[in-house]
Amino acid sequence: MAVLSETPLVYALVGNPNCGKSTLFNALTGLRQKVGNYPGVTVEKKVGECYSQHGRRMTLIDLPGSYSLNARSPDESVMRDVLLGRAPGTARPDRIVCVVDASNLERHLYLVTQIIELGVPVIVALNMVDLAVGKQLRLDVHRLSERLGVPVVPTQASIKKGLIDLKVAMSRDDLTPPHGLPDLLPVPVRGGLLRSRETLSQSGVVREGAPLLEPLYLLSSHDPTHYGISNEARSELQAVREQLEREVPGWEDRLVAARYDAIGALCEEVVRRPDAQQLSLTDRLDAILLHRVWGWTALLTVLTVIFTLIFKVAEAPMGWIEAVLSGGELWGREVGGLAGWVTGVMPDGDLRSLIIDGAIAGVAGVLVFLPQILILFFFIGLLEDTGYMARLAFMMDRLMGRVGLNGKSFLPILSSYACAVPGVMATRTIDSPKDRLITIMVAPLASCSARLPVYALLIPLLFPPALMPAWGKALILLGLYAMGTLGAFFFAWLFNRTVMKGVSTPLILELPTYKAPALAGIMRQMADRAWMFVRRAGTVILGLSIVLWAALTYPKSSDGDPSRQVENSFAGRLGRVMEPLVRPMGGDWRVAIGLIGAQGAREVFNSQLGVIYAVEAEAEDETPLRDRLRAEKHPDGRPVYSLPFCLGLLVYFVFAMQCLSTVAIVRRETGGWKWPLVQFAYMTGTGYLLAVLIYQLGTRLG
Amino acid sequence: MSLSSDQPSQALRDARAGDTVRVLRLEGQEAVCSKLREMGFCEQAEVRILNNSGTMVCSVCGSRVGLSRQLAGSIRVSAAVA
Repeated sequence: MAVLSETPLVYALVGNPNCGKSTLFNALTGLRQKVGNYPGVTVEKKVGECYSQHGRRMTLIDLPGSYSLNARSPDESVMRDVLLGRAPGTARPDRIVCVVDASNLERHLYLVTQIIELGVPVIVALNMVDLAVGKQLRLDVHRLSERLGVPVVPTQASIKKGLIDLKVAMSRDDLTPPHGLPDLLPVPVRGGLLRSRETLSQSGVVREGAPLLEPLYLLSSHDPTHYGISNEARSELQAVREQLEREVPGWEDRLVAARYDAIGALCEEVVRRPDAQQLSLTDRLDAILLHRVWGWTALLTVLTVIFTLIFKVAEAPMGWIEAVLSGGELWGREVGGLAGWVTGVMPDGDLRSLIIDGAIAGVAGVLVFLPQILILFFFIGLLEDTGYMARLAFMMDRLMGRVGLNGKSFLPILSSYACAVPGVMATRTIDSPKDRLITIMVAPLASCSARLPVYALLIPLLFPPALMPAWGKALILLGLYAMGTLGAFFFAWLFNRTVMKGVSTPLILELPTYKAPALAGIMRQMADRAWMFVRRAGTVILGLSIVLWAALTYPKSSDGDPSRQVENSFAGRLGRVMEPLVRPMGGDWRVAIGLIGAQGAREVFNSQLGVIYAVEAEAEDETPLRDRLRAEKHPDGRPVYSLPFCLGLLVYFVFAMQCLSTVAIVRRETGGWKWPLVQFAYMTGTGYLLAVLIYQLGTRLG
Repeated sequence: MSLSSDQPSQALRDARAGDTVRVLRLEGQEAVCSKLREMGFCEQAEVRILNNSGTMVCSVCGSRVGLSRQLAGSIRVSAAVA
């Protein structure tokens, strides 16, 4: 069994978006997957394993979906770099499986014509054959394989059909680089590219024997990122490119045209269409879902349902998580939870306090949002899988275009209502660097679920309970959401007009055929994304909670009075130092401590105030803390939590950037500290100014 | 391409739903044009308009593509072909 010890064959799995590539990847590798990140970019790196017919280990890299090797977004750069063997930490794939949608060959073959020029063996998986049958297309698989010069295997990944045949093809020892399609490069272009490759390999920018088009792909003029290419190499590439452009003007367009000509001829030969052009189910659905009246009605209904479910369905599991970790009511019984258990088994002391007030409280603060995030990801998965998400983005494009955003910014902003971290991560599919940056900058203004506990604590303080019916509270809550949303649009417009001038890419979007969702795949994606959220946010907030705990616990004051303890602690002293900053908005040093804590994660504000006022705030019920706040007075006898102060504070929470996890993710996505700092400054600055304005005006008028 | 400039042309934006037209030329920024070409809107490509009421959806290269009206204004196409 010598074969077992051989190094694994490395396969890359590539394809256009919506070709069923991830479903195929899951079907091939089962549970043997690892999800990580490519260095320098937050593009998910998915690697899985399976075994060949001969028991040889095969590694599969699932690359982001892309239409072309001419990269236009970080996702696409990753695909290009991995295939060219230029991605640090990822071996160049030995072979490539190119997944195409059988019902949509013309579009998908474009990428295939690029892939087969890379000089590596290629297998084409002709996926979604069921859809082709549904469209009454007849495909000559044998002829297609012959003409492309690569094995072509019909599959239907959603029901695991054709997988064995695909594995047999992947196990073949005798696969050679493709030889089928005639050379698509116009002669003068070929000459020019040969010369530029020569120049570039002499200076080491590309390796010896690199694919002829590598220089072109590396410096496609639309690539915002150029990951892993040194500046010198870049200027050299630029020079070579300019020379090529002088020698053969318009060569790039000629190449695209040559590819489509070849594809057209190929499809004539291998695809038989039904004679009559009939309206498909997708056409009929689109007539409704893209209609100017019914389409918007459907869109609003869908969004309302999603939001209602995110907040309503998540309530119960959020309570359970809270109860299991910190104690509370679980199915009608009072439980102590993990915190209660620790209290029981450990003697009182700093260590116990660290575990309960620092670690458990911190982790609970993050995990409690998990149900909402899971529900959100479920719906995003559902919308994407059925094909409706592309329509949503397309419909929203006109609206978002008014403020200089792109329809593709819709999904990131939508996600940000649950949590800005996945929202910012979702921006990586936006092609235009400018649009992407603006979306990242404004997405955290969408009122995320971490603001909810603070809203819930403060809104009832605005008016005496007798004057505040339930619908009034709901209306104020709605107002806060609207304020965040309008703020996001306003700042997008402002950024677009001022600091971030540049070209917007007008929207062009493939609208996939509607299909029934594959629930297993959605569940799996949900689990992956949720786990990444928990890990990332969990580490940051856990660390921060422990720091806060320490700042509130030390130095120890001699008597055991908890509020004296807080006052003398590091945090208390810091609060006093910061008090002058908070006073214009009507707060005292206690509020300052709360805000310092909330700077890391908004929901910490509630627990901070709980600790500061030494009130045992129950998990679900904030009434004791709220009553304590209502009674709180300034030294001169005025109530602290007055209407202008609470209103200002609420507005501060709408706008201020108070989330370390978001700052961290923005730094990673924008590749430096500049933009997270700008974002922090403009958001927190706006929140502060508005809060001061509201308090000052409010106290003068009222 | 000199041939196509003699032909009567219209912006894709103004074509009617149900019509099939042929792309004559692309106007505007180079980066946008090349993206359009890669999505199938090459010169001489046939485009069938599926929806043009507020939103613009075309069938090109056998697949449905939605594009903004601004973009549809920068694509010059022929009058409807049979």
